[in-house]
Amino acid sequence: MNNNSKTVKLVSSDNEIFEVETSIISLSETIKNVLEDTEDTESIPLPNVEGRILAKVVEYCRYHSLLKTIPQSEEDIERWDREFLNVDQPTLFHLILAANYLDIKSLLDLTCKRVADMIKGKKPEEIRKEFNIVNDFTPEEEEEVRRENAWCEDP
Amino acid sequence: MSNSFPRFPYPLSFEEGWSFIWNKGFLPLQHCLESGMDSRKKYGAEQWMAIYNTVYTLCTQKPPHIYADQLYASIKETEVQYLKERVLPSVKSLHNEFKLKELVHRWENHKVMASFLLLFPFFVAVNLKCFVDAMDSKDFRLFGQILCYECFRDNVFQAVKAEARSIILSLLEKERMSETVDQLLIQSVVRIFIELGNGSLKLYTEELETPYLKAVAEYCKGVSNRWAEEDSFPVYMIRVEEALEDEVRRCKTYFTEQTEERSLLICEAELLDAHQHKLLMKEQSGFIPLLLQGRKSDLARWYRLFSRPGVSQGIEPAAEMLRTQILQEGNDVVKAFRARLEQNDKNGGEKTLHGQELIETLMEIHERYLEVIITCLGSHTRFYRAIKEAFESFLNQPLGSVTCAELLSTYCDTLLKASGEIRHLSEDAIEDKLEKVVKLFSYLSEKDLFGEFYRKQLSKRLLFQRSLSEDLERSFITKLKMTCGSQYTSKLEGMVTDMHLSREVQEGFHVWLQSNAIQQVLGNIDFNVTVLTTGHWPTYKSDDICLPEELGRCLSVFQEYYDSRTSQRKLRWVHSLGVGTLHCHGFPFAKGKSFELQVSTHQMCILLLFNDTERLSFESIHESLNVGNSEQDLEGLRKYLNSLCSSKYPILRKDTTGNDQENAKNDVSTKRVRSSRCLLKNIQEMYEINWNFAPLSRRIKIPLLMARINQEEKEATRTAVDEDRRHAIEAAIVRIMKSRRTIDHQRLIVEVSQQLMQLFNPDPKVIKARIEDLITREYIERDEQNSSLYKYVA
Amino acid sequence: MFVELSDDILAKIFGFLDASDVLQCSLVCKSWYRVAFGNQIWYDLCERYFLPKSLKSLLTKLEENAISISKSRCSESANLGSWEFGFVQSSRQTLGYESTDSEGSDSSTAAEPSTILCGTKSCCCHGRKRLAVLITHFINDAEDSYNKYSLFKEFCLYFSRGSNYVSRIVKVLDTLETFCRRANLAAARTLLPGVDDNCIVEHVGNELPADLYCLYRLCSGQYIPSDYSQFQGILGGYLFYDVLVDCNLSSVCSMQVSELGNRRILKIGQDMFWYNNRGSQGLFIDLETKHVIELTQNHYVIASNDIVTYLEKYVNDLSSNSLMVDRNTKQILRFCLCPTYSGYSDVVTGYIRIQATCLFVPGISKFSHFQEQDEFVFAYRIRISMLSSAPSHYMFRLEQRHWIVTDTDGHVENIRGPGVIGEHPIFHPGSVFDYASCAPLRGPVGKMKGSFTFRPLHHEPGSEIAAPFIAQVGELHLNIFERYRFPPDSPERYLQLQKRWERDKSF
Repeated sequence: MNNNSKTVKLVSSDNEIFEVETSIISLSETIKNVLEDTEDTESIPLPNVEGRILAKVVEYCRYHSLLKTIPQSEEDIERWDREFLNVDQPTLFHLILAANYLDIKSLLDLTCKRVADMIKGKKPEEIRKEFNIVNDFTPEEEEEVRRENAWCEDP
Repeated sequence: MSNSFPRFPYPLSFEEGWSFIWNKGFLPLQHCLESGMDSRKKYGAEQWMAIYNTVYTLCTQKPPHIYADQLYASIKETEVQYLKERVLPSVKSLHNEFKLKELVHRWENHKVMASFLLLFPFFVAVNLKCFVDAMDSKDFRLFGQILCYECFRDNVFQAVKAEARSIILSLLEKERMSETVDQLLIQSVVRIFIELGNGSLKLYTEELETPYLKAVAEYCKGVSNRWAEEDSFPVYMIRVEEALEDEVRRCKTYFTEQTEERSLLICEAELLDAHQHKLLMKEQSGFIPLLLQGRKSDLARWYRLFSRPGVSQGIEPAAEMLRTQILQEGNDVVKAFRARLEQNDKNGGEKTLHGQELIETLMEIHERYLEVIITCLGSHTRFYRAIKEAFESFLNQPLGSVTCAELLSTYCDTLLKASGEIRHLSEDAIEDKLEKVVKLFSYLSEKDLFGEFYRKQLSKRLLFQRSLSEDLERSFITKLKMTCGSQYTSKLEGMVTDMHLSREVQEGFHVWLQSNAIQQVLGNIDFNVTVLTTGHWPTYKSDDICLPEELGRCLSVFQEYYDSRTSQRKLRWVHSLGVGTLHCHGFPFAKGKSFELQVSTHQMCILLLFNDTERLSFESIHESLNVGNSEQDLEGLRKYLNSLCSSKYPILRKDTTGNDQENAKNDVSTKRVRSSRCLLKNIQEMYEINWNFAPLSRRIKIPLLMARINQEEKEATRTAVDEDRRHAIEAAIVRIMKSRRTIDHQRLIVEVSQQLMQLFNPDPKVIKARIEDLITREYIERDEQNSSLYKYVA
Repeated sequence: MFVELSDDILAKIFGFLDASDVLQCSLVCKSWYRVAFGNQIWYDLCERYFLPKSLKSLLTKLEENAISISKSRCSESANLGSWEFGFVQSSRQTLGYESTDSEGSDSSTAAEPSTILCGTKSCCCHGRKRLAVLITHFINDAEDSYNKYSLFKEFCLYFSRGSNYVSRIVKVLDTLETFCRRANLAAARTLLPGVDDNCIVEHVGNELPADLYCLYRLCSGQYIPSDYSQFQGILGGYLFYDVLVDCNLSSVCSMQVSELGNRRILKIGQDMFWYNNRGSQGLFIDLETKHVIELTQNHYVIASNDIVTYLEKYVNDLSSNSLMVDRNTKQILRFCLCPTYSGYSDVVTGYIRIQATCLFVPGISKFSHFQEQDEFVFAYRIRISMLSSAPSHYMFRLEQRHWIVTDTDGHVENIRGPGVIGEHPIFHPGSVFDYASCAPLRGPVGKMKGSFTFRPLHHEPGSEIAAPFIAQVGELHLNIFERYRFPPDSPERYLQLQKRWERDKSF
């Protein structure tokens, strides 16, 4: 592995450049693989990720890779994560896509769980409202699905 | 910066995406590998990301534009094509080691290419369902390899595997002949066999291991036949050991543990098992000669080799040979002894010395073989069993007029006596010998007989203070206890404890005398009593001999003391064991000084009678002492008197009127029974003090009872043991009947024997007799229908 | 925007939801509908709710039991009622409530031997077969051809109410069964497979709480043959004086609802008494509050809030080896051997080791508003052993015992006596002596400690006989609150003590 240099440059879709330590950003499997599989890489283009999202991603990676050397209690980590995800929906959405693209499992789990929490206990109308989703069922179709699901009362 | 970065239209069509991936992704990689360049040099990060992006797009577009399956299919197709057209021919075209090298090289390339794919996680995730093995989806590397194992295996490997295998086998042959080969190459090829099995070793086992094992078997057969003919046993073993080590090393270098195990089993079977019998029986260098010559390292090597798992008969044949050998040696010794004994019996000589020799020889044999078993034969239980069987067999053979049990007991006696013939041995040495005795003891089948003899001898040692050390006595008893259980040794322990307690009582007695100022009553007699518990000790008769006044007083004083100390205990005086010391004054030949006589109680009473009169008749002595009128009593009295008149210590002189010396001799030597009247009437014997007695020293001991067990005692012991056995058998029968309620004859005999095996081997005839007896005493009854069935009568 | 998320990300999100939430999501829009019924999601839900792998192995084991039981008992016409050891034959004490015991119900079913193995009745078999098929579809579906959603639905319908207890109960039963098998206890082979809904309704109506219902759908209790000759109770037992008690899980068809005061209770665990009939005791469920209770002579105490928690704690203790298993009789004993349990002590003095453990026995205790007659009985078990490292000639004889018992009110009693339970056992290195007895207290808490005096029978070199030797018994805390609670209508002073315990966890 010739990419022993301490830092690498990440280029976002809007041409923002982030210089990050390789040890931190290796939390992303994708970037880790690039570095392993190529030589003398100075910069990596990430056309699918916007600058501000990339910034958040880098922040996440930095905190969580530091945990390896300076461990913190479960509650502290949870608190930090909660703070981190205190963002608006579009950002959350883009974070999910970015985590998927960059293959950062813990971030993907975290963001998905967050969305799941937002869905829990809500009726379909509420969910649609929350996430701005258009109902493309016809009333008959909707009725049929409801009937199908009727067996599941609250256990 | 992103000039080379493609911008694809949405939605991306498969063809466009695929062509980009193929041209910009795969081809450069292939090129790189073929030319031997480092695969990482193929392109830079930008291009890498571009490819990544394309794959990502193809796989995550919303249906129906999702192309993950097609991507997988296309990759596989191109891979197969590449393998068929480029890789396979190149491998086939070469020969021998070059073929192998090329195969390895191509395989490594292929792995790199496969791992290229695992860089696309969504590709993997979506296609995971395609793969049957339940594997951890996080392990992407394995995924990629799985994807391409089949490709490589089916398109390249299957075609060349036979040749590859034969090349490897021939290389291994070469190595066996001590030529150098390329170890790394062989290892790499073997690894291919393993890796292509995709997690299971089936491919490896079928294609490589089985042919290899066959080759090994052939080789071993060949060499073992040759060596067995040519070499002696030790040399053969050394060669085999070397061969086995070599094989282990080979398997460890190249193959798996499983192969190593199997290969060793085959080698062991061919090299060791097949020829075991022949080798063991070799004249000069077989197993027995090795044993006799004490060839320790060879024996140890033998044990190491033949206890291996692949040798089917293992150590069994040799153990048999060992047993026979020991048995023979033992039998020889015993036979020789028996012959000498018969000689002796005819000549009437000393027997016990030979007995000691016999025991010591047997101990030596035992130690010798035990040592061999421990140092060379791995202390294996089979050998312990062999030695046990052998010893049990010859130790319990009849020896004529003596038994081994008796000889062993006598040997212990000599060891533990202070004045034994075996002098100058330290306590540790004696302890050591006793340890060995116990080992021989454990082989005896008549342990109860030994116990009886030992008890008698122990009592003599204890009572006459002949025991060397109380610690030794106790330790030997403990050793016996560990072999036979505490019930066996309870009486013995009781005896030793009794001596202990008795001493306490003595001290207490003396203190009591002083504190109560009763000392004067005894005069100046120093009086000591040993109190024994009945039941622990052999039975001694007690008699009502009339004691002189002073002695009588001592007895009653002691009785008073004892009663004050304990309650509900009865004392029975055994005068036949008592000893006393008399001060004698006034013998002119004693140079004016007094001397001491150590005599038994009876002798003392007799002598004290002469304090009043110089001359007494047999009859008057008889009356004064209140001896009984039976023949035994009279015989006994006569014996005492004779001991006082013996030529060695003639304190008294016998004066027989009306009879000459002839008759006197006859009286002593014949044991014919005469009526008491005859004795009194016909023979008027007078006894008087022999003033001419010249004592040789100040202290004279007059021997009383024989210290050794004479024939009478032996027979008495035997009878006592037989009696005990009868009781034990009866008790066992009753116990068994009680718990079983009904049982048939055969089974009863078997169970009784089992229960009593520890102590002795019951004779089935005796058991039958006991059963009959119990039936008459109505403890058990026969079943009406089936006469061989017994029932318990509650 | 969220609609644009790819299917697998959506699937990942749904993977964090419960079954009912997933179904709600399916109504949101068509693409969510498609993802919501993806097989992977329902596969995970099935696993999470029903643990099909353990469920399958458990059901197989229980079926095996049923088959082997029915094969060996097919000639037996006796029924669960007539145990030989006099439990049900002799007269009952009236305990202030209608006695509940199996004799009543079984004498009515005496004519029908087939009701013994209720779990093997054809209706039950059919239902279980269906369940087995479902599980097989679930586990062995390599090609992913079965619709996991419909499997999930069928699982839920099989368990109707109580489906959310399935995974917990399966874990408990599995651990219990495995433990018994490994320790080679007879109890493992007596567990019966579950019964159908109809069967439960037939025997106990509709009153069962959901978790108990689920339990019986999975395992319908133990089959105890009439020649009750071995300890087979899977709920553990204990000893006091010469009475041995063994508690088994009642079979569904032998259950009956009875009344205790104004509450309705159901017996689920049956205490078997040996040698001595002391009344019908066991484990009960209060049908209103779902509490697991044990009856005292005139009232009751609460063992746990619900049957699943009770079983979970019990199984936890078993598998962490905190409970004793008697080596000879193979009986599970509820005596706790955990070093952190205040009712257990383990003290070595010289070469003698004494382990002591105690247990509150509700069945022979009583308490009421009249304090003078209250009696709280604690059974204890003592194991005395001599260490094998002692010199081989050592021999000790137990001469005397001395106990110091401190009652709740601080009253201290000294009890001395010769030997233990009338015996003076002798010890060699490595020998062990067990015995059980009991200590009645006047209140629910107390302390006990003591010592045993031993006389050496061996000789010390130098002196004649060694001096007598006293071995200590470590202090035991006799505390009812470790395992039980008082019901709210108990005397006030006990409730006060309970509050103190809950607050401080000590006295």
